[in-house]
Amino acid sequence: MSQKRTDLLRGTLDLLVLKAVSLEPLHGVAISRRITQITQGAFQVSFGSLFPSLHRMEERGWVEGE
Amino acid sequence: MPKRILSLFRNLFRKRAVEQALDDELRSSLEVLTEEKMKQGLSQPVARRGALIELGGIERVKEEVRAVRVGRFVEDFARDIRFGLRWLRRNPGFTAVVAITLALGIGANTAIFSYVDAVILEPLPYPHPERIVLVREQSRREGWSEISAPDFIGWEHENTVFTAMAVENWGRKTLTNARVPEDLSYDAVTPGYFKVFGIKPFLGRSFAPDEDQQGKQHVVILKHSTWQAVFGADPKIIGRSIHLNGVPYTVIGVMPVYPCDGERTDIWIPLAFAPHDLARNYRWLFPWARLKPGATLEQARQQMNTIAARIAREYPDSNKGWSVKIERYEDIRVDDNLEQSLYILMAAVGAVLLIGCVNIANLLLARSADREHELAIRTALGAGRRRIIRQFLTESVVLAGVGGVGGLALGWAMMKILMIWMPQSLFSIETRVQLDRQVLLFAASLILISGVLFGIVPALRNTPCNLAGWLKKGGGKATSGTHSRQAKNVLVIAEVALAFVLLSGAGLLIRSLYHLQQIQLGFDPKNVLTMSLPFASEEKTGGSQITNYQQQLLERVRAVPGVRDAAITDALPLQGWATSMPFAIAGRPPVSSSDRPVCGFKRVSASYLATLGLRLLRGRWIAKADTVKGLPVAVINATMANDFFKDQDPIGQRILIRQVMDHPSSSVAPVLGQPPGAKVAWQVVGVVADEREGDPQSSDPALYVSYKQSPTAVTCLAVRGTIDSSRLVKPVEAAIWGLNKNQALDSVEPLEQQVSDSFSQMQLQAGLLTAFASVALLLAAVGIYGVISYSASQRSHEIGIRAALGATHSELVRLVLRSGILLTAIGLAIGLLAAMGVMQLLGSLLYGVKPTDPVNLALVSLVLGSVALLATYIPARRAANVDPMVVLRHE
Repeated sequence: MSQKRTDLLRGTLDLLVLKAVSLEPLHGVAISRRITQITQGAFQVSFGSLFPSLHRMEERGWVEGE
Repeated sequence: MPKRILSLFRNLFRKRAVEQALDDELRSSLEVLTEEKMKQGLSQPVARRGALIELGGIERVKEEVRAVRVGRFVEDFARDIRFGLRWLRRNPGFTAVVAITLALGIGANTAIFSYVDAVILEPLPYPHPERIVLVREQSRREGWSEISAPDFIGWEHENTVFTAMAVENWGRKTLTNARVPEDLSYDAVTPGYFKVFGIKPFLGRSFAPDEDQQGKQHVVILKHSTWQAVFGADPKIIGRSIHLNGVPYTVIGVMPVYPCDGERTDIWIPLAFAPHDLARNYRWLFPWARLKPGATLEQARQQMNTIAARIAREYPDSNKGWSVKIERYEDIRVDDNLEQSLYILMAAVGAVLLIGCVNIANLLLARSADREHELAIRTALGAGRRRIIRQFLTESVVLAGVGGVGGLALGWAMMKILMIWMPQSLFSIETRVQLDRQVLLFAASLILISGVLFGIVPALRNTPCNLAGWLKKGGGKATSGTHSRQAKNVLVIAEVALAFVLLSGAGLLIRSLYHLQQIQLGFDPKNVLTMSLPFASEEKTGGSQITNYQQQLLERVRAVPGVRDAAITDALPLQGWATSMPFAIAGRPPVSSSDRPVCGFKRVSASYLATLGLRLLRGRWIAKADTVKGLPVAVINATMANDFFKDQDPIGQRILIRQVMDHPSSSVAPVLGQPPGAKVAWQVVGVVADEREGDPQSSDPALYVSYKQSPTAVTCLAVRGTIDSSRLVKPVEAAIWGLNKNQALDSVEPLEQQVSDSFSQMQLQAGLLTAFASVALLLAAVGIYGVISYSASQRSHEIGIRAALGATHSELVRLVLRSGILLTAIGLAIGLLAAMGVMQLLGSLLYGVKPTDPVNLALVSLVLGSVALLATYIPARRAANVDPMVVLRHE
């Protein structure tokens, strides 16, 4: 049950990040700010979750670092 | 996907670059955050601190990122291995015990498996080995038989199911134009022989189809090792002429090392039939064939039996009642007894390894109590149960690997030693025992499996870690819970039961061996030297010439100092009958020739009885005066007298046997004025006790006649000395060479040696099983000792209090003993039941003892019980000797 919930959260975070970078390339800090902005402050991403998410997606080829 | 593989590669091998990039990224984020905060008007140090707090600590974020990287698993695995190795280095005593136990187990398994692989699993080294068949004849009365030359010629000509057929027959020839006369064993084969096996020559060519014709047959093919040893690997050997028994042969080929070098033959020559070889009732050829692609065994059987039925109608006298028996070579090349022994040994070494694993699991269980501290910390830091089990298993596999490397070395050594002990004659010639790919693969999987096997119990027992419980005890010394003690008890019971089964198997084999050795030999092997004298029969024509030469040999040898007596025979004891002949008894109702009984037919000199110490039961033995001119006389053995003259005095009876013809191509002329094939009436003059010829479990009816009345070129010599037979070798050889310097001597051996050799397979089997059972016993004892002393040491506090309260020494000993005895008793009971079932499998390997022999089971219980008791008593006594003051003060 708890495993499932983390998967759901992780998926949501990934989607938010993808949405954030879909318009223009962004820096890690900027992504965090953009997500807070999009979700109107409902979602404050900690860097401890944001960076792993970015790296995971980079390894899967979903995003690219510059 | 490729993107992830690329990442995996980068993560594993470009670790520094990856880490550097991560570091840069986080630092620049920190910069951005700091600047952001400075823009809000904060001073640089305050802004930086705020940025760090918001980021959550650079190292922590790094760790979070590392955790999601591809290849994290591999990295953890490598770290676990490093950790495992470090732990082993810190516990050298423990590592050594485990490594030795495992090396023994893995080594024994590897060695035995190398034999199982080579003898049973490895396919024959010929193209399409499943097509190679043996085509033999069988009759209901005689079982299978070799075939006659005319039958072979008919079969080869008429069949349409084989691509090639061949027959072979063995013998010895002397190489005469060499420095010393060299005795070579030859295999005379018809030209299709190498086609049947699909072997291409290494040099030159194999036989041409017409080289079995008289006049064209003086060509020879060398075995590779003969070419090297006798001809110095001469590259220009092809076309050279060599002399065999004085006749020139042209070398036309050399065969490849494998598979031919396993053959017990030195050279191949064509088998060319002489007119006198063409008797239909003489079955002497060993027949091979290769099935045509697509032809089934059933088709071959049908066609060959149609042909055989046609031949039988045409020649009922020789062929009535005979049918054709076709079998795949690969189905029959392994002796059933050997196959069974190998499987039993395999099971035995498997059990030894299992006991070893149980012991190691026990040791690890005891150790893991010391590791609770480490486990608690790991759990507190967030290691999951799966992660910890994985770490445990990795460690135990590393441990198994360390022992396994030693095991491979030990296995290789054991394999080599077994090779020296095992008689080569046990195996088919293609058998090549080695540590090849399959054996190594087997050993590797065994190492992996045993690692998991002895690692899984401690791993499961120690997880999940009871963190709260550990913390409550204030991190003090933990005692192992009841579940871990129960696990150890079950393991000890299993050990005792396994050891019981192994010991009872060894016990049964030892007793069978003892029974076998008690069987009457019927002769006295002490101080008897035997040898065979391969004969250049072309040099001597006619029976009398051969007999004269043999007589001269006998006289020369008799004159050697230290020789008490000497005898000529065509077959030495333990080597079977040189000839078996159908016979009839004069005066009884006639029996058609195909239904006649068969007896062994042995030609000896008059001195045979005294030289070998046979026991004459009735009448007289063959005399010197029984010559060509006299009445043909025979002495029968006890089995013959019992089987055929039960209600009748055998003395004076006449036994009718066709004149024996010698082969191959011997030129023994008809004796006693009769042509080959005519019947001779042998008058029985005596009965002699059975002499063991081969199989210790049965004896054949047989008769002995004088070598002068039935000459043969097959010559063996038995010499009885007044001194040890080994000291007779040189003088006897000198005496023979004094008569004929070209006389080759073969298998010069003390008879006692052959007697002990005849038990060698049984001895080896019993010896190996006993060795493995002893190792099992030792391991079980160590296991019991370990468990009892560990549990005693954990109870030392309790024992100390009991002692302080006035318990006597013997009461304390009994307290500790009780648990050990209970475990042993349960183990013995389970072992007894298992042994009663498992021992049935030994079945045909046993002799004179039943699988469930109560004496054996009782003895095994006694031995195992006392060893277990000793293993319990030692730690019990030590525990009871504890000084209560020391224990209580320690508290």
